[in-house]
Amino acid sequence: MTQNTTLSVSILSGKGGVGKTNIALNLGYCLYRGGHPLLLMDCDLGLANLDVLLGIAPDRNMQDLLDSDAAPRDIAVPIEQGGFDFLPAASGVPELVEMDGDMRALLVRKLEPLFAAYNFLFLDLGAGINPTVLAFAAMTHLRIVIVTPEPTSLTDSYALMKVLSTQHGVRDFFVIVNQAESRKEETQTFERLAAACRKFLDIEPQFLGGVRLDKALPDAVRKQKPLMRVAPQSPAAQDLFSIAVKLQRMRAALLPELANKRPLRALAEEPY
Amino acid sequence: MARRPTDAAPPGDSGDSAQASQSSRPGQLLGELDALRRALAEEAARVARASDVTDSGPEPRELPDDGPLLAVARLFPGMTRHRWLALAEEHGLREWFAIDLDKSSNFNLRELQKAVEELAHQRDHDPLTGLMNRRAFLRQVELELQRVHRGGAEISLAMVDLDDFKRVNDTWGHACGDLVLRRMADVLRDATRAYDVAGRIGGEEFVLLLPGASPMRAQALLERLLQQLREETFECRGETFRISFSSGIAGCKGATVCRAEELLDRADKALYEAKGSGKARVRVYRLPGVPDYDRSTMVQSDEKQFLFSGNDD
Ligand SMILES: Nc1ncnc2c1ncn2[C@@H]1O[C@H](COP(=O)(O)OP(=O)(O)O)[C@@H](O)[C@H]1O
Ligand SMILES: [Mg+2]
Repeated sequence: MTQNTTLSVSILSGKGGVGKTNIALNLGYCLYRGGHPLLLMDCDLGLANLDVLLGIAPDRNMQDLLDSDAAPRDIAVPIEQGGFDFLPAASGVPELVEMDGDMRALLVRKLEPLFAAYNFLFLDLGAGINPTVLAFAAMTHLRIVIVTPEPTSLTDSYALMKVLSTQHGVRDFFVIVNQAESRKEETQTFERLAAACRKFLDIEPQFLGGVRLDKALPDAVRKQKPLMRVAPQSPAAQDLFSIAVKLQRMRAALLPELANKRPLRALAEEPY
Repeated sequence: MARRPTDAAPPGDSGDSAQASQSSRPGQLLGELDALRRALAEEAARVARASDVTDSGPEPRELPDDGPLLAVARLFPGMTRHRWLALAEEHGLREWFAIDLDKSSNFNLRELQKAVEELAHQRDHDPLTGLMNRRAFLRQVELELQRVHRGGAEISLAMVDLDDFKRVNDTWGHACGDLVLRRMADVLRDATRAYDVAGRIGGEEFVLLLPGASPMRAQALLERLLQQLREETFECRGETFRISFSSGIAGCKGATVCRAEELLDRADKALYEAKGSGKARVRVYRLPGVPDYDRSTMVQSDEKQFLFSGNDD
């Protein structure tokens, strides 16, 4: 087997609308500009919106992998030339949200040959704690939980981490605090979450960084362009840039460990 | 066996396991042939590897003049030569040959096949009621649980125990007891869909495995069966009496790993509770003090409080 060099990262949150998709897209963009080929997978299966954020309307999506002979190569859409690609999901397919283990295994098996060409594989997960979210989160090498200072976001993220740790044995999480008004609020938010995790779940999440509340972000969304492209000097863009630098270092440090792992961990349900 | 249609058993669905009908369906034969073909291919590959033979091409190997040689045979009652040729053609079974035994009465293969099938059936079934025995039932539970775990589906298991059965035996004798047991078995059998499994795992203890059913649906079914049984009258030695059962139900859902013993154990606990609260009733197992979901992952109020305020009060 050739040595794996792809680091897989899932972006999750429990609550919707906290900034997962925007963060995934813009971190992806930074890493790509830093010379790292990256595949962004829209795992909000059934209610996709990465394509909308990018202003593209792909005519094929991952659903086609499951019910036709489509090759994964034909489904990946380039966001930027030369190594920033995107795997669209279907919108309005409730069955996909409730995908079972067999279907997931099939999807991963079909996609796997595609992964080797990328340094990073980003999974933008949907909201909620449905089996699909849990399964994908458990498959990646790293997990980034996005929280905002809102109490509802905090509890939803905590609930997701609780289910993953108690039911799926997943105990390592990185946290990005999004939309805080100040650095102080950012730290406070992380500390609340981390303290609860420590106290009740006996796990120790790591702070990856904060992305400030920034009007430039909704502006970019309206233009359907990545923030990093339209406003690279904005506060949120600079925050995202520092996080991307950290991720790049993390991958470099993890490379020896990654060598004999698969890009996405095969789940327990596969080997039957 | 006489079967009454009930609303739980859609027409055409049959939980019946009479041996003869089982073994003569062409579907079963084809399934077996397929399994056999795969096993033989694996074996051939193994032999080729072991003997380091390089010519493992698609050419069929010639029959050697000496060395071990074995034919594998199976009787198929009701099959005509004509029908077999059609099947063989359709399913590419040309390398299999069939011998017409219709006229060869000197060698009683029919009896032999029957005996083999009977033995196979006996090993897995309770002779009195014809339901699966404990061992076969547990194996079935394991299989279904794997399916549940893979597919994120749901399954329920009901344990059923006749109330005051000892009294029946003591008052009217064992023959009467057997009559009641057989009737109970029929009630379970009639209620089941094709993929449900009924078993007898102890003296007066029965089980029903219901793939795809939530504990609530299982409860509704068992309550209906209880009602039905209670309305029947039995007659032994000129006296009439009625009978009831108690039942405990446990379920398993989705990605949480369930083990067969655990499921049985939980159903058994629920059954114990049903007996303890007056018999002739159905109880669903619940984790102590909790409705039927996994409490271990629930975010408790103290956790929420802590998240909001950063301290314990
Ligand atoms: N740092 C931020 N500053 C301002 N607005 C933000 C920020 N992050 C996210 N938003 C707003 O939140 C909305 C939802 O973000 P999105 O990435 O779609 O969330 P999710 O994928 O978690 O549902 C965006 O359209 C944007 O307007
Ligand atoms: Mg999103």
